[in-house]
Amino acid sequence: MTAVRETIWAAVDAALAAIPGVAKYERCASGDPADFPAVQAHDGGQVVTEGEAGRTRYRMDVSVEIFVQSPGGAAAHAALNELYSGAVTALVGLVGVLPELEEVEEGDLRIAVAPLADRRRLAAACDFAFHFSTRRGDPSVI
Amino acid sequence: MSLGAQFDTAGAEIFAAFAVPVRYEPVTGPVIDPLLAVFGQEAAPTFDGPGATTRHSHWRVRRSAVTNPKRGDVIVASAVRWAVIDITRHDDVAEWELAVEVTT
Repeated sequence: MTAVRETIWAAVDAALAAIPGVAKYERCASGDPADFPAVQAHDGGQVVTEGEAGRTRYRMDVSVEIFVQSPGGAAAHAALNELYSGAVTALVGLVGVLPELEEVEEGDLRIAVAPLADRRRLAAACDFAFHFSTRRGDPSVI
Repeated sequence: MSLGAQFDTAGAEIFAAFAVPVRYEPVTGPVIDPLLAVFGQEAAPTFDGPGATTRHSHWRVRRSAVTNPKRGDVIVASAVRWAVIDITRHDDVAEWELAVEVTT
């Protein structure tokens, strides 16, 4: 039995890896990307938002980090914005495609520039909230 | 001998030991070729992501050789073009420390 959250994550993997221009996608990366542009997704865990007689409803936090490395601030920033847009489209677009998924909310976006680095590297971190529910007591059944 | 002059002497000895010839292309003004400069590299300040892979590279040049460095000046060394992104004035050894990034 596959946990519903894993089914969602498999779809997240496929959606983010398919963003045009992404050189490397990785889930729960433990090191910095080596190929750019790179997208990494991190599981922020989940909270129970609602408990009914037969169902449990969750909000799972997903953080997507996008890394671009190229000379020139404007060019790198433009590429970052393009990938951010692609990530939002990809993840919000999972609603209606995955029967397990009830809603995907886009959250905060943070942009950072690697200070004084000898390669111009920019990062964007975008938060998402995934809402889904499973049968009570069995997170692998919707 | 004044303290500043002593450090200037030390700076000259450091250059004699560690400097390499580079080509200095300022945004405006004449190209300096060759220019003696000392390369250095260390960890860059922490940045997003799990690792710490960003590096901080800099060239040190004598103030007597480059009088007025500007951001955007280019240092060419071993076919790598480095653009100056940050300029620190070192009065102790009469040098500029020019933080750089690769332009290509």
